[in-house]
Amino acid sequence: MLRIDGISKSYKGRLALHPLSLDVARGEIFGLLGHNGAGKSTTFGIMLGQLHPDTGEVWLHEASVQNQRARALARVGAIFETPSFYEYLSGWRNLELLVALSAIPDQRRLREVVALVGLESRIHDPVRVYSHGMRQRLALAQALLPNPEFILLDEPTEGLDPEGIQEMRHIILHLRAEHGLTIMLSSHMLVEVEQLCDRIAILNQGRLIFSGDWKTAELSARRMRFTVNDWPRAAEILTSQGCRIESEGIAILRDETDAAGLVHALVQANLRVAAAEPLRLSLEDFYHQHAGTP
Amino acid sequence: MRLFLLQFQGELLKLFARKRTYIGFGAFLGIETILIFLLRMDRVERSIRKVLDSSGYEGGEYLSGLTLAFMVLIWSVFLLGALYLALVAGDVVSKEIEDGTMRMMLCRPVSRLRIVLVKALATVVYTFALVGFIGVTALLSGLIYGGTGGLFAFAPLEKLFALYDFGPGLVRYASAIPLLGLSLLTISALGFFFSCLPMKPAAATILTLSIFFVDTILKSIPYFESIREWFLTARMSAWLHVFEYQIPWETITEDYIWLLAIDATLFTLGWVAFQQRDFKS
Repeated sequence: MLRIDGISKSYKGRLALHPLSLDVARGEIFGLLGHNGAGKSTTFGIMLGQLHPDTGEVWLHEASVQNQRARALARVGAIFETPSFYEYLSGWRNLELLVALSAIPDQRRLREVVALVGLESRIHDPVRVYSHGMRQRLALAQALLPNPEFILLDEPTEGLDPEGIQEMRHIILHLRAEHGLTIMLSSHMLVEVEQLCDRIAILNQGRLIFSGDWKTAELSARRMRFTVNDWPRAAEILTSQGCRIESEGIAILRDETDAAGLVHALVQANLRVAAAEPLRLSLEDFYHQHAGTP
Repeated sequence: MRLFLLQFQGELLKLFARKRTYIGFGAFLGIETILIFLLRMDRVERSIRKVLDSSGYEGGEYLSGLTLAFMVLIWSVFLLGALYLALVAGDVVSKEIEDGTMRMMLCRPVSRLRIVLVKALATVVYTFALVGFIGVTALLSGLIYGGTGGLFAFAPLEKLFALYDFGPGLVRYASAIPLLGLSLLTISALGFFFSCLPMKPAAATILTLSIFFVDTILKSIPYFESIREWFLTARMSAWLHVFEYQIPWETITEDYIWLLAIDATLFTLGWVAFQQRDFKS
C-alpha cells in the first residue's frame, strides 16, 4: 500500500531526516513515534507531497507522490496536529470546499461522515466557534471524504480531553474494522499507539532506530526482575552468568540462559531470592529504551 | 471541467465571504461621494469652467454626471484601486499559507498548478468586479449630483482634452471601464506573484505598492518622456486613449499585449515559485 523509499530532507544544510525506508501493508495500523523534531512531520509532509525530499520517493497505490501526486493521493486522507479551516465559513462549507478539490461533493456521503465523527448538530455553525475537539473531528471528517483507503493521522489525539481521546481511538479502530482502512499515525501518546498499532517505527533525531512489530521485538529481549536481599552481589553473579544489568533489580538474559539456573546460582551464593519474574515491556519502556531517553 | 468550475466557485466563495474583500468597495463609495461633493463646490466648478471657457466651449453644458464620473476615475482609481487590489491579491495565496489552510488543501489529490490557477482566476474576477463597481457607482453618483450632459475628458499628463455629447460620451465611458480593469490587472498580477513567494501577506502587498509607486514616480519625471513606454504605469494609462477623438487602437493593442505578457509572466513565475515551495507548519 505504502512504500517509502530512501527519503531524506535537510533544512538550511541541516539533515532533518536521514534516508528513511518503510513499508505499510494494506489493512495495517502503523505508528510513527519520536520526540519533537524527530522527523515525523517531515515524513508526513513528504508523503503528502507538501515537502520536496532531497532524495528518495514515496509510493502510494503504486504511484509516486513526487511524480504523480494526484494519482498517488487519490484514495488518501490526512489530518494534522493543528488542523486549520476557513474560520468564517461553516464546518459543512469547509468540507464541501476541501472535497471539491478532488471530487464532486456527494451530499449523502458528507452527511454519513459528519454523523460518523459526531458533528451533526454543529456542522452548520461557523468554524470560529468550534472547540479544539470539534476541529479535530472536522479534520477527521475531511480526511474520510470522499472514500479513502489509506489515512494519515498526525497527532490525531493532540489536545483532546480523555473522553475525546477514547472516542478518537474507537473511530480509528472502527475505520479499520468496518471499512478496511490502512492507517498510519504519529503520536506522543504511547498508550494510544500501544492499543492501536500493529507495527511501529521509531525516529530519533531524523534517524530510523526501530521498525517492525515491537511486541515481537520485546519478546526477543528476555528481561527478568529479581527481588533479592543484596542486589549489588546478585548483579555480580548474574553478570558472571552472562546477563546484562539494565537497572536495579532488572537483568536482560541471553537467549540460551535458563532462568531456573540463574535462581539456583543466586541461592547457591546464599542470597535470599524473594521473587524472580519475567518482565513484559510496555511500549513506553520499549520506546525509551530505543530512543535513549530516561 | 465541472470539477474545475466547482473549485473556481469555491475560491470565489472564500474570497467574497471575507470582510476585507469589501473594504475596497466600501472605501470607493465614500471617496466618490467626497470627490463629487468637492467637485460641485462653486470655487471648484469655476476652475473647471475656466479651462473650458478658455478653449471656447460652454462650461455649463459639460459639468455633468459623466464628467464627474470621469474625474472620479482618473483621480482615484489608479492610486486607491491599486491599494485595494494589492491588498487582496497579496493575500490570496500567502494568507492561506500563513493560516495553515493551504496545507489542508495540499492534503487533497490536487495539483499545485490547479490551486494556483483557480486562485489567479478569482483574483482576475475580483479586479474586474472592483473596477466595474467603481465605474457604475461613480456614474450613478455623478448623474445624481450632476445630471445628464456632455463629457469633458481632461487629463493634462496624458495630453487628453476631449468633449462629447451625453450619448457618445457614455459609450466612451462604458468602453473605458473594461480597459481600466485590464490595466489594473497588472497590479493584481504583481500582488499575486509576491503572494506566491515565501513572505507574509503584508510584505506582498507592500512590495506590490512599492513597485507601483516607484513606477508612477519615474513615469512622471519629464526628462523620462522619451522612455515613457518602459514604465508599467505608462502602459496602464492606455485606457484613456478611448476618450481621444480618433481612438488609436494600434497603440491600445500594443500596450495591452505588453501588459498581458507581463501578467502572464508574473503568473508563471508565481506558479514556479509555488511549485518549488515546501509547506510545513
